[in-house]
Amino acid sequence: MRIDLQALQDAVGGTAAAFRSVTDYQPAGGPGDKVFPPTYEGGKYATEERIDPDTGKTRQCVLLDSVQSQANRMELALLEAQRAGKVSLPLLIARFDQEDLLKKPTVTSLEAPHRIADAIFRDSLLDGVKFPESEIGSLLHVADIRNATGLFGTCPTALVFGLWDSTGPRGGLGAKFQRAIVSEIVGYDAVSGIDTSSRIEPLGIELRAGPVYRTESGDWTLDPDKAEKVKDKPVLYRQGRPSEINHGNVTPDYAYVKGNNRQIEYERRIDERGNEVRVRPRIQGGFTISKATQTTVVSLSALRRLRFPLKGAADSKPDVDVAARTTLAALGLAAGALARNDGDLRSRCQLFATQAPVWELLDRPGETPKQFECDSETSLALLGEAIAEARAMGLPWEGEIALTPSPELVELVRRSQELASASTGEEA
Amino acid sequence: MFALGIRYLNGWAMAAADGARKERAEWPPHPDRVFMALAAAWFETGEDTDEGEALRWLETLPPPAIAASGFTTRTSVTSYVPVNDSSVKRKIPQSSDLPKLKDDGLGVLPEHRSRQARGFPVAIPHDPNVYLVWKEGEVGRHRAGLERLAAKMTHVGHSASFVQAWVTEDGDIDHTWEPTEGVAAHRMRVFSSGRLANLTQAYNRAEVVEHADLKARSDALKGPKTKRMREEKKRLDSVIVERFGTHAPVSLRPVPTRWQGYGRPAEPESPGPSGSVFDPNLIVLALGGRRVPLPSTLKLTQALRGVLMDCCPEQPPPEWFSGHKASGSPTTRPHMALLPLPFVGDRYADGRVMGLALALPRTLNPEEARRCLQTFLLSADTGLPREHRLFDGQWFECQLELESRERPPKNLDVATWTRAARVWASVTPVVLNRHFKGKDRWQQAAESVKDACGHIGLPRPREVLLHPVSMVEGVPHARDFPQMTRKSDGGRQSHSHAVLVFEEPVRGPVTVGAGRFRGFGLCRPMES
Repeated sequence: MRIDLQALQDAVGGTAAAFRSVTDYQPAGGPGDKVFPPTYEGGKYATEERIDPDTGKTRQCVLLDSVQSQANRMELALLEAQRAGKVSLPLLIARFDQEDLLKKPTVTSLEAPHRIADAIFRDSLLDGVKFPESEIGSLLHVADIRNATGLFGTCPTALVFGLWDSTGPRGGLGAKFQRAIVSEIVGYDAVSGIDTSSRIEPLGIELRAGPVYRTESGDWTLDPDKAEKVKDKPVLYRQGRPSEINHGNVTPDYAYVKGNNRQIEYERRIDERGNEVRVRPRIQGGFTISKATQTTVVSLSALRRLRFPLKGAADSKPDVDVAARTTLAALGLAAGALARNDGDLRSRCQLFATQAPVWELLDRPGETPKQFECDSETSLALLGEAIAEARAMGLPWEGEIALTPSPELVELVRRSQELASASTGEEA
Repeated sequence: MFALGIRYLNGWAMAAADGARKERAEWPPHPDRVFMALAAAWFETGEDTDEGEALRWLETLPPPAIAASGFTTRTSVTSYVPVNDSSVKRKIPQSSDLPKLKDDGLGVLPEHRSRQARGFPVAIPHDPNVYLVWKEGEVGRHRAGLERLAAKMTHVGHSASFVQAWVTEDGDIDHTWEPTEGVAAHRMRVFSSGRLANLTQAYNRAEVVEHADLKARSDALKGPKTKRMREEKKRLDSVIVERFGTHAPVSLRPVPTRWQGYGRPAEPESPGPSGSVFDPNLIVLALGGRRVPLPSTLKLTQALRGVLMDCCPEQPPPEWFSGHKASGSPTTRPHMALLPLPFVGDRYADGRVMGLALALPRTLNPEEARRCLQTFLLSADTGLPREHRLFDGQWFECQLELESRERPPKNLDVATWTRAARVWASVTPVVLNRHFKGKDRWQQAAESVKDACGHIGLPRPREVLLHPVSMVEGVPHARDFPQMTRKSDGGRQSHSHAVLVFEEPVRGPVTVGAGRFRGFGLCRPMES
């Protein structure tokens, strides 16, 4: 059945521990297509074994999107919904729209790594006052679990995704709110694959066309007279090959993981003699999976810890608390539902949901959980209703709060943009 | 009886077993960790009186038994997390070098923010439900408070490790780990009386926050200000010094205070086949490093003995440990035997030593065994198995660690060496206690081996066959093994492989002959 505001309020006000949604996905290229999970240091993938509860068999699995990455995607999905006018959330925006900048980026509290407590807002100005000293900024210094009203009105996503202001006056004991939503995508029955890399030079430049020399200004030249000289000898541009300036063929080969010194990395194991032996070279070849599963959990017990006293009162009223927690729960459901619309995780890892999203309400252990349908439209409508109810109760809900980055930061950005536009082909 | 049930909502548990290093995942959750999760729920929801009483009552209970399934772990990878302590310098020096710009403040922008390496170890249990069971306790009037507190628990371990907890008094929960006083395979952090007060005191939140707030107010009044502001600042500073002295109050992270050994529940003593004088619960140590062939058994066990003697907290070590009486003469009572566990009994077996086992005398008090062996087996600070280095300078160099895998290799599984069987074949040669002469010397030798079985408490075998080649695949020829020398006159003792056939099945470990405490004469049960 469809979820509505009453059901959500009952869940938040009751004893249920969490909402959970488990959705199955297939690669967009169809079942059996290869997907590329995130690679970690050393070209490793985060693999694991899971036991199937029904058959007791081991299944090889691989992490396709981590908890942190999913949280980032959910915040960006909310930002897109905000920009499309589908939702109206309080948002801090630091705009770099000064005249002399070549590009004018913006950073919002949904994009900043530490949300409202992020360094970028700390160094910005609100109406000419430094943000931590402004009225809104100083809310952070006194915000805690028993008094989350200020944060509710200025950055409610901090209460859902978690926040820790460790750089305020209280140091490590500053405002700390745990996350209330966790989401992860895991691929099942993962079999590793092989990928290749190669390049055909469209201009036909060969190795023999070199050597390439380095000029004084850091550019490249073929003329040894124009090159930078060290002890009367022309300096080569790195190794002197045309490939150093991005020209030439690359021999087709497997896509080996290479270390810092361009040596191929190997999977190693210890053999019975105690020697470390190479088993096989590590190839970044992705995996074929039988299915991917996205598990999202919105913790209602975490939300129930928050209290929202109004207008400086010492205690909060229960119905105000329920209204605020319902809004946050709706925000969590909306974030989870919006994230299910976009399965494009990274290059060659686009997933497509094979079922409509269903949320289970996990109440008493052992009982069958109630099930609710909640797609992104329903969740956004629900969120709108919850916000209206919360505002009617007297809870604050700001709009977009524009911050001006400090002049020093603007100057740094201007210089880095000049550098970026001036440099030509310096990268390897 | 009552139990605290915990369900991991994500299907996995994110908690580190190795403290700050965060490379190994912890499973099952240690009781102290669960107590701290309950305490956190109490602190963060207004410190209700009834719930506080329930917690203080819970502290007084003995360590619980744990019902948790086995688990697998995710490959340990390094994630890079953006930091939040970047800041923009007040004066920007003239530079156009990107790294310099980042240092000066460009690092504040998300795309240039520097990142810190972090680990997030994850354990995936086969069953996401865990129970902490107190078989002897009655929750009584504390049930309501404890239940409310359990419902408020949001996570155990990392904040992403969501849980749902409840209290149950249903009696039929089969626990898989129970507190043991003997030598334990597993050690867990547990809580005891006073833990809640200890946590409150160490965290010291009230003082730290008060000090920080006063300091912030005082710092805000720095610099040229009005006379009234300067006086206010002076007043604040004097209040700070009066309340806290010159040092700021600190907030400390909790430290583990009590460890408890946990073992698998003891199987009921079945009145089954008779066993030897050794306890069939062998302590298995896995060997790593260069391959060590079976003939170097004596040197291996000698090196192990050296390490054990060094690690024994009681010096000089007791009789059952060292095999010597206080006077220095050899003991007549059964003592600890060191046995090699080789890779044998398989088509591809090569006889290399995979591990070593400690066989303790059955009559030994488990409390005493734990006292002498715990420091050798497990590390004091993390409770994880300790790695030892065994080396001889000439023959081998390897690492030794307590075998703690869920499913160890066949030859490191205790059942392979102790299950009941009628036919037993030697994997290291049985050392004969004297030379035999005459035409029937082999029969005499066989009779002496039958007597030797009696020395370790086994019934007399029906038949003993001596042969230089072992019946077990992969075991080297008897001549490849060095001969043991008699301590009294340095004479060499002869040895031979043997097959023992008993009337009735007997349980192991079976190790016979003069070298039985040092690894010679170890027998393996054969399929009958």
